[in-house]
Amino acid sequence: MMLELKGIKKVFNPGTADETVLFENFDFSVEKGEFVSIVGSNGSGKTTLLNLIGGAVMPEEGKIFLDGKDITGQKDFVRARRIGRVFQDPSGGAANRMTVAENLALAENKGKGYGLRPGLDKRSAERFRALLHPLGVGLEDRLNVPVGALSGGQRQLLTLVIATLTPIDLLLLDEHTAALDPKTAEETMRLTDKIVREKKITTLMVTHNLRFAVQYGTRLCMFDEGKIVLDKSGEDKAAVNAETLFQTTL
Amino acid sequence: MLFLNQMGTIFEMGFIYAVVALGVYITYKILDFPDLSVDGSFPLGGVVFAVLLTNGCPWPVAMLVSFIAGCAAGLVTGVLHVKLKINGLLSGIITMTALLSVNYLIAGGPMVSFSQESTLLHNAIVDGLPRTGSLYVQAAFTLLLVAACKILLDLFLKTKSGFLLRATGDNPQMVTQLGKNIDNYKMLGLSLANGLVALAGSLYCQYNTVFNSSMGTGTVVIALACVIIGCVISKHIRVMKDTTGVILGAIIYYAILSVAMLILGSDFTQLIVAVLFTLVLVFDSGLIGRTAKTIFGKLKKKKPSGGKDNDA
Repeated sequence: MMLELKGIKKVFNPGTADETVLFENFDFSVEKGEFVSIVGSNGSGKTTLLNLIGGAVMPEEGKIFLDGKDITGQKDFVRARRIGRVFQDPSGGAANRMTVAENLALAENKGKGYGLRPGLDKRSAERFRALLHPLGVGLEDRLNVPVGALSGGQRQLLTLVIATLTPIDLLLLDEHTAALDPKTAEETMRLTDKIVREKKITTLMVTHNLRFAVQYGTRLCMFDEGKIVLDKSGEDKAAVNAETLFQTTL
Repeated sequence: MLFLNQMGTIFEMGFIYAVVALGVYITYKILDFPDLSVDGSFPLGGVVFAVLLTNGCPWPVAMLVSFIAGCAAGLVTGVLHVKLKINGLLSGIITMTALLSVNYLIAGGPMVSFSQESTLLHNAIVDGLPRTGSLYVQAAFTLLLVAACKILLDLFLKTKSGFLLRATGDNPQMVTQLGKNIDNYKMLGLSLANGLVALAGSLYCQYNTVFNSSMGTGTVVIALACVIIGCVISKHIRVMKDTTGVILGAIIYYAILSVAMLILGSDFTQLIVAVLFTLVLVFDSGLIGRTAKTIFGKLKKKKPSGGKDNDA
């Protein structure tokens, strides 16, 4: 089991009139190598789930295990060493005033320590070019451009590359195509799938795009008010189509 | 001769404040942190230098200790902010306020004079020259120090750790994703910045051969003005680094300030500083540029005044 959540309880605004219990005795687990798509309406707990795993939100009760290790008490930056994450906001994953090459140079050293070595060396450009070329979106020719000047789609791809550049146990995709136009979203999703497959990364993808959820991934979960109301994988998942999924949400 | 002396003073003061501005550049531009502790760490550097010097410490050592004292002051602001979760602006104000007393206690009074001691800016070489000559030699010595600070800072910003420092101000979330604690990098940046400011404080005292407890008043505002002017320049000249721009900004700022003080008299100093800062901010916001465009656009009439925005 790559990821396990056991007996999670999460309450928002505890002790006030706005108190809402989102998760109560919630269990969830993901096997190594699974690519789980998570769908559900707003407030169903999808993003909170990712925040709980990433460490941005702490549960009131319960334990979280990553690759068998209890990470419940770990701070977000410690967990990040084993967990990659791509956010909905394209400006969230990279330093926007720094160039593409500088961002990749940072990502390269994740888990290795930084120190006073030169940020970029003579061979960096060559390495990064080789890394970005297979994506086929021309990012390799924009190494010295500040990330802020890239398009939303290019930025999300770069974030994806940054998140998966060093070995990680788990990749969290938080509606990462939601802010993109339909064509770019399609392209980004296709490349996401390619990267995840090639690197065999266990992945959790939250999405509002039902078709993506059906088309990609090895397992499909639907959340509603902090509960899993649908959980299909393998052939069962292949039988699900966007239409029936949409009916279920109603 | 008067003009030459005036120019010499502008260079000397410009270079001293360039060191302050390099420090403030780290907090304001790189970390995106409004650090007000500068008003306290500038005189802190001065008083530490003055007291050490009058107790027989050689000036290079005294300057180094000033730098370290400034780093410590910056670290206090950092700890208040990241560990005690106090708002950044308030953390700086707390440190600045505390330093007012600390400086006074270290000095043992409002002033420490050391006109007989040998320092970087007052030694056998400098004092053996006529007034004008000595001013330029002092400015040259200060420039050497500014250049050293600038080059070291540039080099640091190109290292892996330097990249992390830049990313901390640019996108803290990314630094967290890299498995690094942004708190440490904020503290590092604040320390370095206040260290440079304190170093400049020691230079300022050397130039005047006296520590005066009121020397810190307005330092933040002056330094921010220098940084903003500098970054406007470096933004428009592609090959110029921000740090070079910041040094130029300090010279330009002091030139304008000196002219204004010549006209209005030194009683108006702080008022001029405030007005200049306002002008720099308004200019930086692009308001003047847009207004001018609208007016000239209307005058020409043929060309439609485009609603072009600078920030794409």
